[in-house]
Amino acid sequence: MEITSGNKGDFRLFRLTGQFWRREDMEALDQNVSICITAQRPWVILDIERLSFISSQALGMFVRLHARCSEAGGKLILYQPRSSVRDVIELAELHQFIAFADTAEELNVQMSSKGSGGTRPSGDAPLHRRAKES
Amino acid sequence: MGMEMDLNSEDDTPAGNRNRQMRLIRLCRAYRRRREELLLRQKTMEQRQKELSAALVEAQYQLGRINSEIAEELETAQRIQEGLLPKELPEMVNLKSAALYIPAGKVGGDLYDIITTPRQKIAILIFDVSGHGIPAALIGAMAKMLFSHYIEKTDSAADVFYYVNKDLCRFIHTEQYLTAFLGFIDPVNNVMSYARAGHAPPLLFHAEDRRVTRLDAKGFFIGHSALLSVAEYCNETVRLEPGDKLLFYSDGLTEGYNGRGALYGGERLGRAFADSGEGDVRSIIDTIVKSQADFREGTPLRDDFTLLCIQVGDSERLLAESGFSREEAPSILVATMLHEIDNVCSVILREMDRYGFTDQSIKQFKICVFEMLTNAIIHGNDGDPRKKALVFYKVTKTEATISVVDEGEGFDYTAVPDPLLPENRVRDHGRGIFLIRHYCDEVTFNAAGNRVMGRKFQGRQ
Repeated sequence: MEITSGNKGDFRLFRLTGQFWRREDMEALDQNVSICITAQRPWVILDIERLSFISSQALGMFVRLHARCSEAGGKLILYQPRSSVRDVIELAELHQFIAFADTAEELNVQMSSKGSGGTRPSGDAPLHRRAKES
Repeated sequence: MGMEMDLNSEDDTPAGNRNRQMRLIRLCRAYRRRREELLLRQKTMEQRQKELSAALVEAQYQLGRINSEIAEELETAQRIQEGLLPKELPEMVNLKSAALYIPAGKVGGDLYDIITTPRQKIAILIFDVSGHGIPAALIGAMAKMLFSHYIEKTDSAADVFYYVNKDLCRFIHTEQYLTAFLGFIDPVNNVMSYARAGHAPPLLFHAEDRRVTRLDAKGFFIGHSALLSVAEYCNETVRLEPGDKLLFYSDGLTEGYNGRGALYGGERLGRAFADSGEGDVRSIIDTIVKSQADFREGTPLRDDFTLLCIQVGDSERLLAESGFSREEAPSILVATMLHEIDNVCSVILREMDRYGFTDQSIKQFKICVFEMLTNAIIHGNDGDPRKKALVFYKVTKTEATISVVDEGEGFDYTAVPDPLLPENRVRDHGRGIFLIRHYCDEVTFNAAGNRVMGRKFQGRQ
């Protein structure tokens, strides 16, 4: 699986491409999200539009990352899952407690709402924090 | 003598004295000329010697350079040839193997391989190129590629030989050729179909009565263009019983000589195999190599040789473990590590695609295969790469069935918590069995809890 990252507003966005089941991919994603949490930026979007396959262990990783972001007062949003991946996520009922967005509008709504996992950063986040991001 | 007599003449007259003086002068002059000639010749010879020495040094230098170039080329050829031998023999279902290659010079002509075919047969290949050195290595490399190519395409050994022979004859226009044996073992049904191309016939040790028989088959050697039009190969079949052992070898083994010029021969090999046949595959090879070395009494090998020993397991027990019946004739795959799951999945899903399963069914079944194998490797086998997860599968027009058996102690499948219960929903594990149960139409576990079997019917979502 390939992980690329960028920023979307105050959120850190990780785009996952390929199949998500290998341990090293899980470790890589865990490490990336950990950096956000350590930097006190626990607002994370996982863009999974290009994810073609997900295993139960990868589902577990989503649950773990959601819990960690929430505990740190942030939020994890799963963005644009394709139908086969969405089917698995819904079957395991992850959508009941992890924020979901299928479209850019839904994503904006999720980003602006406090959500179940924690609070969204205010638009007036300290400048030094933004500088680090860029 | 005459001159001395003249010089010593007693003619004391002035004319006699002058005459003697003149003779003496001429003698001295002749001596001086002769001495100068000799000195000149000596000088010329010394010069010639110097030139010859220089030429010799130059020739020695050139010879050394050529020798080191040849040695370097031979080493490269040796490395290429070693690269063509399997680094380690593959993990096989129901079969154990050991192999040994003993070189006689830097580059020999023997090669062997064990390949799992796309149709889940185990191909055992051994061949021996005539001659040695770089030409043999080159032909060996070419033949190895051709064999691998055609083994991927067909499970008929005779057809593989036919095509390899045809191709090699197009490329090789020398007198070189190769002998070969190729067998395809069906590890679930314990049958080997094979063909022989002039190669030393392998031996079969029958576990039941300790008999050793030869696996003969008619067939010309491969690659000699003069034989292209007459080369014919035929397939033979042999039934293998649990505990039977197959011994493949090249003639360098039987053609070992001792100091008295006697040949080790096939009979001695057969006896050594019969005596050691009840041991494991490694000890059989060690015993035979020692038997041949003892026979040679230190006489150097004239030819390199290869030994490959295969032990056949119990296919009935294997089938019983799988949950399939013999009539269902499942195919079998093996995985020991997580990265192999992808390949296993591809094989099974391609079959489903071939039988017209919908894209959605295939994706759902993929999740089942992944989860079954992940459980078997991580939980069942505890991540131990020495343990195998056996995957039996059968795809028909109406259903796809998979059974995964691990080498672990099993688990209580009735005690797996429901991940949808509120207390389990946020747990980061425990969803694998849940997904399997959901996406398969039928799921069963064996009593030991080390086998899960799932079935998906065509047309059901």
